[in-house]
Amino acid sequence: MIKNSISLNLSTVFICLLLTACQTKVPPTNLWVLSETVSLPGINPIGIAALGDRIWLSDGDHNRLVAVNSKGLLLDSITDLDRPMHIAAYNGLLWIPQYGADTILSYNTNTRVRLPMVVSDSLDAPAAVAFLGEEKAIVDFYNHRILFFNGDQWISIGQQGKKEGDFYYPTDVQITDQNIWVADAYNNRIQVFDKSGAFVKMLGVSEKMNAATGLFVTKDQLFVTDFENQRVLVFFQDGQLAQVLEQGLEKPIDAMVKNDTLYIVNYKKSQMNLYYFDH
Amino acid sequence: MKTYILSFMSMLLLSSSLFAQNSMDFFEVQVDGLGCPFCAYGLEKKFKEFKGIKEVKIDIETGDFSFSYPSEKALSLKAVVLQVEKAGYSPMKTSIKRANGTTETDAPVNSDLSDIVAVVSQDIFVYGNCEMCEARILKATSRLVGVTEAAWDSKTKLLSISFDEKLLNKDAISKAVAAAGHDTKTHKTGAATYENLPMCCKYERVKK
Repeated sequence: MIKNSISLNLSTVFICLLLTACQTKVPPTNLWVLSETVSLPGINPIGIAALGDRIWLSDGDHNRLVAVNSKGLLLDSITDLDRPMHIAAYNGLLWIPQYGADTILSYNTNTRVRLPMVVSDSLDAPAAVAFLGEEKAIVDFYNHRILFFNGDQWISIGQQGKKEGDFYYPTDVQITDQNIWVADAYNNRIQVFDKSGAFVKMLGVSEKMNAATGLFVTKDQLFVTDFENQRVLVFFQDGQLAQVLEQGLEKPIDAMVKNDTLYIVNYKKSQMNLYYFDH
Repeated sequence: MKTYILSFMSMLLLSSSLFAQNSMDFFEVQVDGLGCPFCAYGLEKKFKEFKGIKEVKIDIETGDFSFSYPSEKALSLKAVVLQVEKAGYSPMKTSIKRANGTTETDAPVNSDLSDIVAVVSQDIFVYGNCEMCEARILKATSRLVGVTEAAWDSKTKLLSISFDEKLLNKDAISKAVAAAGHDTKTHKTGAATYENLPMCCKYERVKK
């Protein structure tokens, strides 16, 4: 009798535990979740790019690029630069816009050879560079335009202004299969163009951003660093807001998705935040 | 003989190098609110374009901005302050070490506020965006005789200010802030002043 009673009680406890476990299991959110904050002492990151298994950061305040591992440990550095900004990795090379020198440099991390990129026109404070196949794009900050090479010739997109297709101090660019995406920083919006330079659409206007300094586009989403509002906005590509990231951000300035991880660099906080997507 | 020639050439190089250094005035400006690298590097870049300017350096973290300039051009302290302000920045302290060994500095206004008896605290809504805005707003208020304390919050846009009401009033404060580039509920900044603000400071203006 006693044995049966104990057996019944144990069964009840087991079922209760099972039910509790089922109830407390957190369902997937389909949202980006902060997984890690990497401290970057002495580094004020502005741009981020991945070359091989290394994360490279531009540290404009200290006129250098640094390579760090996922724990923030310094692995390599490139010095004697002139205010490097939003960098890119392409064709096994690093591409470095030098804001203070009006040049784009390519840098081979194996041979340490640096070469200037040949551009059709003079630049005034290049803030970002992007590539896709034969195509390349440069943000020409003080000229309020994007220089786009379509594989055949350079074209100039935009001019200073507030209207559709105009820019007011653009700071970042990315090329996708169909479009050119521009962080129109001080118009507080993202603008999208086709490869002929024609305006397609703008995003983020109703979110009242305050300096849209950096962007990253994936197959499904667009990430925008809202620098002065200390947040990152995640949009679906149709412009619908998917998520707002705020925790642990201070002057976020660039974003990158690599191997299902979202990286966001915080300029003033000397930190890199890592997020995973909770499917 | 060869040794003499080498020594002479070394001395010549040394003296010409010293002469070159001595013919330059050295300027140091403490700039507040360099929160945005695009603006801060822009200040550096634009100063580099000055003919004859050398050794332009800006430390974003401390706001220390320095450069050398040919002494024969006799660049004045006031001209430097104006140039920095024209670029939209807020110089807090400026000093020059002249090639002839003299120094100049713009000492802050030291008002005698020892007799303050009627301090009041008020909030004023002031439009602005960022740290550079904050620096500019606070500099505008610090120039007013009678202000004892001031702080501006970029989120609430409120300027919380304490002042001697015998010397100052809310309207005068609002007017001074607007003159520096920041609209208030009662005073509007001139179009040219607004246009001259750095890009990160161009807050959205409310139309009347």
